[in-house]
Amino acid sequence: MASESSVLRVQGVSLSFGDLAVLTEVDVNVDTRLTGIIGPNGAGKTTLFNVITGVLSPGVGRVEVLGTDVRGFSPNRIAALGVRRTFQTPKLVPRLTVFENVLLGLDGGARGASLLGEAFWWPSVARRERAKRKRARDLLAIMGLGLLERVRGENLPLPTQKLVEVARALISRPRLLLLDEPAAGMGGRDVQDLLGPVGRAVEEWDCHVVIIEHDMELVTELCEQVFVLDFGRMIARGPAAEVLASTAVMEAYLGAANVEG
Amino acid sequence: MIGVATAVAVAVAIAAPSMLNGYVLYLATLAAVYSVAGLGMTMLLGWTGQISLLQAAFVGLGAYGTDLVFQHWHLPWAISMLLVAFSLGVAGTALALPAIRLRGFYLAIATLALAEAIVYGFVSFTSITGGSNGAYVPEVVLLGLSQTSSIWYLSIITLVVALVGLGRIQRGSFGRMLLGVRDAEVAMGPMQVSPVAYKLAAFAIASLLASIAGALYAQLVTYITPQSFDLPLLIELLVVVFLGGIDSVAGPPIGAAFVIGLNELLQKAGTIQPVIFGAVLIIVILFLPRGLASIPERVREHRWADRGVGGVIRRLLTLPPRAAEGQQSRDLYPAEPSQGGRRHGQ
Repeated sequence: MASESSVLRVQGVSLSFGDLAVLTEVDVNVDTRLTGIIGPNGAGKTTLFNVITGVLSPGVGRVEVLGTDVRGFSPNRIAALGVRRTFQTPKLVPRLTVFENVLLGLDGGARGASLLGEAFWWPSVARRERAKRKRARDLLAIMGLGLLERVRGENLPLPTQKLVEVARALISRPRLLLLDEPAAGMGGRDVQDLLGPVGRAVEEWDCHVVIIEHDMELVTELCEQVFVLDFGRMIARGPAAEVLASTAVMEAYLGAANVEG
Repeated sequence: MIGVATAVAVAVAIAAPSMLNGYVLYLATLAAVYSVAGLGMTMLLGWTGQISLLQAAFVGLGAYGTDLVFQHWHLPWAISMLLVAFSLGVAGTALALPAIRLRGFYLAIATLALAEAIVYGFVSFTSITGGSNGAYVPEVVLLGLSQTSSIWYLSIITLVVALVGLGRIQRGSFGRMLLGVRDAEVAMGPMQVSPVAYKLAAFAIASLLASIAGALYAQLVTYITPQSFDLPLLIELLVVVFLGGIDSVAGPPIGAAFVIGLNELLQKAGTIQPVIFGAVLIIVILFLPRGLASIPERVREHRWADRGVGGVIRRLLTLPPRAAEGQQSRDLYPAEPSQGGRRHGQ
């Protein structure tokens, strides 16, 4: 459990919006390849993702991503370490096509000088763009999105938007992938479409995946380790089956939350 | 086909000074100059979503600045123009640094105030600008050409370079990131795209194009006053940009040609000219909210094509329906932008 071996280490992170404590001394240590974060609505799961990706900066505590302390880092600097995420409600660029949205996943980290190159046919810039296009096309084909390449983001149904967002996150081959409720609103087949490529990422380039999910079956099936958040506090952790089965209280409580949610 | 069209366009551009009478050439040059400034605005306001109202004032800075450098430093005009353009690109970026913390309406107000301050500066620094009385700009000619042809060629070449460059930028990675910053800003950082950097880059390019347009404008009218760069120019540029359409680089040239052309056609209308002008603007914006440049797309999406007058014409000409041409529509699910799907497994 040395910090070198852990992909993501959150230590004593607290955050409040005004008087409302959203996260209280949260500790998360991700060293398994598939990790789940569960908890009822409003537990602070997405806030935790926002803290990890630098969208929000924690009031107190320490976040270490892939061995780097990211205090004070902007989101793009954290992303440059090899981190990608998806959003609970997908954030595709509506006016861009599926293809362009996925390409956007490779656009990050560009140098300023490439701007002129792009404007006036600089060979190396054109070559890079061609390589990007090939990669995007291949990934879309693998993910079964090939036929939708030219459809605009704004015209896609929600499950497809989520799928495209996962493609956009995967295309840069991240080392840490944060999925925010990937299966919410999806049918069984969509979930399989989505999990196939994620599984391949885990196998192929040792990508570590953290999943926020409400679907307990999915979490049990996938995740080696599960963290449970409630009202901003980490109330349980451990192997998925253990956490979900041994604490009957938990089960009841999550069940109740699900009925409400 | 495209090759032929390009050849014809180039031939027309080269022959224009000998074909058109002086006044029409002046109007065409003016449209080209407006287009250059408008392209910068299209990128900044349209693609990046930064409602900055500095463009007209920066056209002024470019006009006065180029004149100043040209007359006092005795540099060649083209060098003066480029020097001032790049300096103003940097200046525009520096001004944007505090401004991009503001959004939407607030950014608009802040930049408008700054623009007014700049115009006030033109009035005040009489030793440089001649104040409200204006200043004559020494004319520049390309070798062997008349002044009016020179400025036409300079303007049209600048416009073509700007069109090609921005068109490529829009379709490439930079353009994608600008749209991303506009419509999904929160998702950009976690994708290793710094929204701040791309907003600043957009401000830089817009300022640079405004400055070049200003230098050309000064050469075209040869007499500039601070009032030339005040609110009326800003409004005219806004109309050019949004009437033309922000989705492609074709927008500003189409918008500029339309606005300048319509203005001319309405010259004979007398006092009710502004009323008709306004009415036409309203009608165009009502029926083409994405601008005049969106007409081909609208036709392709066959919202009109198989219905109404367009449908009748199509059937008369027995053209096949668009969908049968193997053209894959961008709108596969045109009915609704589905949001808020059902929860799964609960």
